[in-house]
Amino acid sequence: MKIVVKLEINYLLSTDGTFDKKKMERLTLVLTNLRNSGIDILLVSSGAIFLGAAKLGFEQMPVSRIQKQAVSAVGQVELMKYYRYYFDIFNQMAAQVLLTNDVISNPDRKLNAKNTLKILLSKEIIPIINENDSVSTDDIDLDDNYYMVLNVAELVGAGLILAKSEEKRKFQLIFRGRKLKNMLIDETGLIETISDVKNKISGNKYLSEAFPEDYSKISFQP
Amino acid sequence: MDRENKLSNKKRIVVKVGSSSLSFSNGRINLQRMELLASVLTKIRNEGKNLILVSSGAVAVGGGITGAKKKPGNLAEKQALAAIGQAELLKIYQKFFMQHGQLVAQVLLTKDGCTNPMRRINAYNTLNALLKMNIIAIINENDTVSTRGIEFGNNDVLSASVAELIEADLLIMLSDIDGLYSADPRRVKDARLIPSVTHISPELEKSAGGSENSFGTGGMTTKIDAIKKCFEAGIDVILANGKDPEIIYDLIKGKELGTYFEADNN
Repeated sequence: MKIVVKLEINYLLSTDGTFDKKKMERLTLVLTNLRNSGIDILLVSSGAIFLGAAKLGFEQMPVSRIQKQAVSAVGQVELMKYYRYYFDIFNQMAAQVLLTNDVISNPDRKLNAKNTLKILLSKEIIPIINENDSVSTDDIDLDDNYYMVLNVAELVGAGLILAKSEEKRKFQLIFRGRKLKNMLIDETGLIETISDVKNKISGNKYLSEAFPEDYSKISFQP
Repeated sequence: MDRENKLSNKKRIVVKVGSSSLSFSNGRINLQRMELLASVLTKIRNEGKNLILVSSGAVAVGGGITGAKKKPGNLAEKQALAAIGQAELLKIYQKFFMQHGQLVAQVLLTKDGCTNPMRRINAYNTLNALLKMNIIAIINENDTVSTRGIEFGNNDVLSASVAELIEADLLIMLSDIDGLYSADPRRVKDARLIPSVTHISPELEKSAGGSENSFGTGGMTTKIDAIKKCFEAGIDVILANGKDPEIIYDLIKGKELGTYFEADNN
């Protein structure tokens, strides 16, 4: 079973708007444990622009596209530094994968990306995926990894998307296709719920269905 | 005295957690369960109880680090994974206990640590000193030097030896079964949980031994051996399911959970 986790940096911020390392540690613990339970995890994480701006001492987040791209190049290193540090605590290997959204439409790229991710998952590594902002502007304009999450799910045939909810210590479980209702799950019940779902839907073909052409039909709200 | 009263007087407690309670069915370590266990034990220690933890899990952690796809087959492989995993296991325990400000210590013992007179005194002194300092000792078998062909990953008898050594009042053994059953609950439909036992009869021993492989990973035979050892030393034992570590709160309050093995001479 494969799950794409969609992580927005605002879920890792404290109330004063600064990066909260404790929250990232919590996230890496929960994801490592999911991985340990036998589920393939792919993490699509934003945060490069935020951490780049913080690293460069910016008072405000960059607005122009070019500025965002440059700041993102600085921040992506920071982002991976933190992920690596916290996953290391729990002995979980992580890898950086930067993709552009033509990864689905371009057959060569699709094959390359698919093979890379397949090998990483078979080694129980968690790929940490972000848009390659230096060469692409699809999600940077949206300030959200919305398309990237769906592309990655498509690429590896993941049936479930997990997103951090605004609510404290809760996750949203979003199903591929529209036949099951999205769920809001407590962090502590995450593994039980997912293995429950796994048992219920095994053999059910809807998980292998493609996402609808119109991505906006997939709701990221509970 | 009823169970509630008896258990409220237990001050020195050894908690034994088996690998089945600490890992997933694929053999990988369950971090969130370790975290919860650390939180529960710290709270109980803060209530004034003296605690010692006998924990498996080194092989599971070692398997995760090396990316082993299968559970180790032979003894040497298990010993190697345990050596890799033990250091990491303690690192993770330390982290989870320190989240609540609880200090821990690692103590690795072999069987003769409890039988050889010189080693016994040393082990006793070390554990006592740690208890006095309010530190929770985390004990495991010293797998690298154990040569007795003991089945690794099973600390049942070790936990009883530790309980006897430090003159514990109670040994709590957490496994992946709810307690002792009248028959194998996975095969016999009307098997019932036995709430309390005061005497290990040959019949009981036989029925437990006959269903060896289906009772937890350690099997029931080694658990009965451990309980007999505790009975000889007048120590009570509770056998319960470790899937929710918070069960320990209820067990030390005397709630009717698991199987309570009551040593008759105390």
